[in-house]
Amino acid sequence: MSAELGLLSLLLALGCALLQSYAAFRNDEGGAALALSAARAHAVATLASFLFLLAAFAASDFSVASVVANSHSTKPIFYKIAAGWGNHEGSMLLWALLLAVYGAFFAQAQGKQTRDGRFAVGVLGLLSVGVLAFITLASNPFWRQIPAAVDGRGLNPLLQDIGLIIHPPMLYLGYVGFAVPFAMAVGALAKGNIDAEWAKRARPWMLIAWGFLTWGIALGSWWAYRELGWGGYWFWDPVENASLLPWLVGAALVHSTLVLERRGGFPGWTALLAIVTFSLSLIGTFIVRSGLLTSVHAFAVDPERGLAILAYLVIAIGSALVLFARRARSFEADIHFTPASREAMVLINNLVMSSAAAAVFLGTLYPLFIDAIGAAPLSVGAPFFASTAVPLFIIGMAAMGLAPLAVWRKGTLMQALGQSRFALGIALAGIALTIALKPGSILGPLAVGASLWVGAGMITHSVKRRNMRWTGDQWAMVLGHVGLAIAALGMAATALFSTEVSQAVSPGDVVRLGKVEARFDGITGIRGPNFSAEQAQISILDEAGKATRTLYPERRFYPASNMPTTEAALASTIFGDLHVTISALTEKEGEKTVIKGWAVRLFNRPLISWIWVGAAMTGLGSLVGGFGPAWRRRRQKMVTPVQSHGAS
Amino acid sequence: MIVLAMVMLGAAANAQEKPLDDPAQESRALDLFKELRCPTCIAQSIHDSNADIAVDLRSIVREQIAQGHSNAQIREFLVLRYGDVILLRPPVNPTTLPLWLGPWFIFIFGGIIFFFVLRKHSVKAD
Repeated sequence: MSAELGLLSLLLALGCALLQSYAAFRNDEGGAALALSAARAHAVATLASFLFLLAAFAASDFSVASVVANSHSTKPIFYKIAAGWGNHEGSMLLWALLLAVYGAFFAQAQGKQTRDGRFAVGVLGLLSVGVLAFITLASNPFWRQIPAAVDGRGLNPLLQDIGLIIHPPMLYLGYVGFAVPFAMAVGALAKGNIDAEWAKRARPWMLIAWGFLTWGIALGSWWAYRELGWGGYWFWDPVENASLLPWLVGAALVHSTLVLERRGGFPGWTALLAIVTFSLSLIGTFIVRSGLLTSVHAFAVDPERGLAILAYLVIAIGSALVLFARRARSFEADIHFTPASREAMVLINNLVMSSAAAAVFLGTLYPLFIDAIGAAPLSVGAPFFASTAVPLFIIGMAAMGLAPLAVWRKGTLMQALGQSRFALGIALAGIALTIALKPGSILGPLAVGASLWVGAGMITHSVKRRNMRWTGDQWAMVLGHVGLAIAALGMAATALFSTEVSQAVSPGDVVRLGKVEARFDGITGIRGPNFSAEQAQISILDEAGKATRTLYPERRFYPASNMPTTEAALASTIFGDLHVTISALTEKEGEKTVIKGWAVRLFNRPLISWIWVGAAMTGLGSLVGGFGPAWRRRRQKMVTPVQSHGAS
Repeated sequence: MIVLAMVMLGAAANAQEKPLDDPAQESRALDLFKELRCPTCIAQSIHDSNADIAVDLRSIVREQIAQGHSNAQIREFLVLRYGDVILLRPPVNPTTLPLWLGPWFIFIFGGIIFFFVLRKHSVKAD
């Protein structure tokens, strides 16, 4: 039953989304009130549809095609439910749900007062109509399969991990969140004005989206680090790159909007960034889902789905860009600033972020392009990105350290540098120390110096303002920038000083990696809810040869998908991780593959957890900046009428 | 990411691998592994893959390093067998010029616009 109810809710949501757009585009007070009601109903109906889908997954209803394809009766209940959004159809529905929810909140907050706000509600409704129609017609998670299957075909066991359960919703909260500034930009281009007042309204939405996107990307990388068993945290594969693109351009957007809010500067450019950021989010979600990026030919496998996606992208992005081209010239701002002012620093940020996005974009799509023109195939991997994006980031961070100390409008280089003496000293010391520890490298020491420069600059800035009341924006900048400095330091240290060893072992053997001694004590077979595993016991020894810590890496086997996976074991401290995996050494004996022994692989990853701590902080800063204005309004409201409740 | 993960772990078997005795040579080998693509994987280096072919390529690289070949010679040898697709850092040639120069073109072109914006909007500092 729940599949039919889900489908019914989905159709209801589609109707409400249509009504939302229609009412909002009427562009009067009555229309706005109707649009708000429709937006709420649209969000509730989509939520109901999503919950009915989860119910079908929870109940393992193997007469529903998407449950059969993505679940299995032996999965723990928690993972059964999570499988509801861990697949193509379900994740599309989650996307639609988040869009509807953002739309309802936006309609509530800003859908009445202004003409451009009302228009934006209509645009959000139209975006929903497209996605919901696509889900209903070409990507329906509620399709029945008759006769019902006996059991599901499982889900990739790698996805049976907490990191990957929260990763997609978080990432989508980011992607979809950029629909709001996109719709607001389109609304303002069509019916209003892109100015400081617009920026004040739009910036919180951008910060919320960017904060969630940061968390989503960080969660994905944390999952890859623990689950893929190669001690790496970022692989530069097309799917990861696709999520990085809106992050980079979104970072440019939140900064240029700041200048728009404070000084009224760069209105056209900011509107363009808002459009491009959401366009890249759309491309990130849909092109990845269509399979175009992982294989050029996947598009042709399901031409119906591929063409529908393409049409949606062309209409949404194309019409926004056409509108921009027609109207952008009318937003000219006449502001003045010096080459070392805060405004100029923001422009450098925008320049670096755009160039880095171009590097990621080119690196991701160039092999496809080469393939399409029939030239000899080539690969673009980590070494390419390291030698193009990393120097750009270092340039960006040089400006980033200076920016908070540069004053608006009339900043001079001497003034900003004068405030940065402490940061400059720390950064130079860091560069010197890194060169001493690792002679011969260039980018690494510069990256360490840039991180320290940004971090120390923020300390100077915060100390200077310790007696002032900090706004949400202030927290956003300090947390965001310090977090980025911490993450960048973690990345630099990991890249510079990582070591690894892999060795075949028998019980009692000791593997040495630098100062670390790890003893392989043996293997025991264990049984999980839906897998069996060989679990190794590995003791980390101190100088006296006594075990100080015991780690249990596993090699799991999931019969449902006939697939072995590696479960790394981690000994994590703030100074670094010891990452341990095991693999079976096998040999073919006739038809059979038999396990002949075991190999232990040790990775020493200095400061690697700083990457996620820093990213978490950056995301938090952005969210504080985004939710700050709403919290403040709420507190003021509560304080005035009811004094006793004001303290909360 | 999902497809990638499946391909990465798809191959269960891995033959015995012995690191090179000389730590300097082994560390050279590890660095080289990270620059070479596993031909059957989607976006993985042979350092990061357990596929049979990655295991084979690792032992070929180690062998050649032990025989005293330079990194350039080893790359050349592998490109002859597999083509440029084996290199994760694409070679700089006319076909890849747009790839290598594109980001810097944007950076410099953007920098020129930045310069004009500054001139147009400039104000004298106090």
